[in-house]
Amino acid sequence: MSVAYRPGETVFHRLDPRTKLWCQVAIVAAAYAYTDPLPLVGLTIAVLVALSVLDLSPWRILATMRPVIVLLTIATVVAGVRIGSPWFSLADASETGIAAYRVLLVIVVGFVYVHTTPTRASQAALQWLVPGRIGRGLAVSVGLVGRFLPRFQTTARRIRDAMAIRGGDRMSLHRRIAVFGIVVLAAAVRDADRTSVAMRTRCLSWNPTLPSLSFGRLDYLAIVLGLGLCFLAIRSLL
Amino acid sequence: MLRVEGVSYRIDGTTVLEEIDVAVESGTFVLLVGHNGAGKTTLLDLICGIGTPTTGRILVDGHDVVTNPGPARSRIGRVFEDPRDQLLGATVREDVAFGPENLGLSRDVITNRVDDALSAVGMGDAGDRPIDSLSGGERTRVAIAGALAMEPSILLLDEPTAGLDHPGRTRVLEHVRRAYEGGVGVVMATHDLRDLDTVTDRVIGLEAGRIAMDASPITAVDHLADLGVRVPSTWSP
Amino acid sequence: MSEHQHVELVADRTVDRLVRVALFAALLGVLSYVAFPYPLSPAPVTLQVLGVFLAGIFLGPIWGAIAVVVYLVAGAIGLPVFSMGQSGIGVLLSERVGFLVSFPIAAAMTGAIVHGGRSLVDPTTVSTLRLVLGMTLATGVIYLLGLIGFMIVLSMGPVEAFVVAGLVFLPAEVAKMAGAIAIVRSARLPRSLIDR
Repeated sequence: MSVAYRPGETVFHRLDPRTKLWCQVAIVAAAYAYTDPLPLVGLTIAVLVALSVLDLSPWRILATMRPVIVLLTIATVVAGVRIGSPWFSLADASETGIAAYRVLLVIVVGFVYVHTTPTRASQAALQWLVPGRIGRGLAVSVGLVGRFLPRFQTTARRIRDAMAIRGGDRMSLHRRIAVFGIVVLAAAVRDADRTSVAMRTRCLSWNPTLPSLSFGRLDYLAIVLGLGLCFLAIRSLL
Repeated sequence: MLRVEGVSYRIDGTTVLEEIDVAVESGTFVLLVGHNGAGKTTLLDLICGIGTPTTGRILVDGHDVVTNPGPARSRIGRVFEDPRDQLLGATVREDVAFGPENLGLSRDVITNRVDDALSAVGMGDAGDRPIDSLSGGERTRVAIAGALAMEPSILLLDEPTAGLDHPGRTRVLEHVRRAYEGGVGVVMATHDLRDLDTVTDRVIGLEAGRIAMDASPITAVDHLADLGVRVPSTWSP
Repeated sequence: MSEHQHVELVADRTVDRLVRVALFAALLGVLSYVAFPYPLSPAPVTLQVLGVFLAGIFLGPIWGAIAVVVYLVAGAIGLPVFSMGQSGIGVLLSERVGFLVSFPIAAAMTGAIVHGGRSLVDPTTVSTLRLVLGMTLATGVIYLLGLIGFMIVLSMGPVEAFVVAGLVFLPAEVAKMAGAIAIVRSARLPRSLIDR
């Protein structure tokens, strides 16, 4: 299971989605700006604290990231390999290794937002961030993606099972992709056409009542913290 | 009230609907029956202003659904054959609020309407449940709540009980009946007449895009078999 | 009922467009989740790139690119659409950043070549050569930007990045292109997808 939104009452749940978006960007910028290990130790501690506040097990999180970890490990090894003596450069491997570790931290920082922010709050933040009809269109489409995903996934699973039962695994890869793709696409288009009718019937408008967003004291604190990180990031680049 | 006046609908040279005249007053319960492909869903779509009739016009509370879709659609509640097509929120409460929010109503009014609509379908406690966790019958009830939250003068239902088990079916019908008793005009397309005899005011039968019958539930009995509808043995309007 | 007077309904055509955009964004999400077993690969091979091709082919350069942007935004805010159902800004800005950022460009490129410009043609009438050309160039852009992302984020050289993120994955792209062409040529293609 990948990380997904869970309702809760933690500090992170209470922060405004705009604050959380801003802080993520600031943390990621700072993480990428600093290449030495010490700041990474700081970020590691911050991430572990955040996970414990959210009651998420770091091991469980790592388990959901297995494919990424495998890829990053291979990258680290490949970065060290030399053609010709001495065949392996520890310095190169450790540089990529540290970078790979930083990527893992960055991904987990994103998980904190994902775990604590319902789509609806993010939609409201999007509409605030991107004003006018473009923002409205973006929020509506993102909401629709959230509705379509579970339906399409169910369809996709059903089709895979049906193909397997009828010997589909003996087909060549590209035939399998084609058969699978066309059936999923056809089902998706049917669902989407009816949903389009439903959205019109339910009076989709450009100027709806928007969910209210408001900054609290905690938000201002977090925004200042983010500013500080951004300042550090910019300073290290200059 | 709903007025369908001389509506024909042709697409790609085939006639889907021909010379349809229907009037539904508020507080009446109309059953729409007919074989698959007789044009029931197309008629319901046209009433919602989806597609333009080739001839004729459709008025909802006096507003033409094609030239004035805003006011017309805000007075129509619709429950689709597969409610998953119309559930647009991530949670029950979000979904029921969709219509009122798009009408630009104030937060307080929206909250009241959502509360009322959810308790009207017996789901007052389910507001925070994710849409994806609902059973078939619950999905239909949330779709009805979403329609009622628009405070419609007319409620259109397309096979609302298809695929539901007996308790799910009974509950859906009970809540439709309650909306009808509250003064909403109801048009229900269905193949399944069980338990509908006591509420139905009129039965309209479509056959190949034409109105083959528009009769009281008592006189309709003799024609229902020709329209592909089985009359339940308990049918006693 | 005067409270309804100021409602500005989204025009029917625009609703259709938004729904289509969401459809291809969600389809891209589902295809990113589908892992096909692939002998040489250290990581699972997903059909993500097929979704990018299809968006460009069926929506054209502009709306195809918009659909992919919606996909990226949806993933950034937490919908499980990135490969293996992951999500978050962190994934967007991970070593995969180059690949993800290249997708809208690749969709636009596929769309532009398949449709020969901004006005849309019926993709089922487009020659196989044009489809292959569009998808090949798009794949080139995806791997170019994708590998640059790997090089920057993971401090690697171009050859190393290619070994890790290109070498074993590239052959699978050919199967996805063949798959996309078969989809376009399929008799089961829903008509409403082509009609507009």
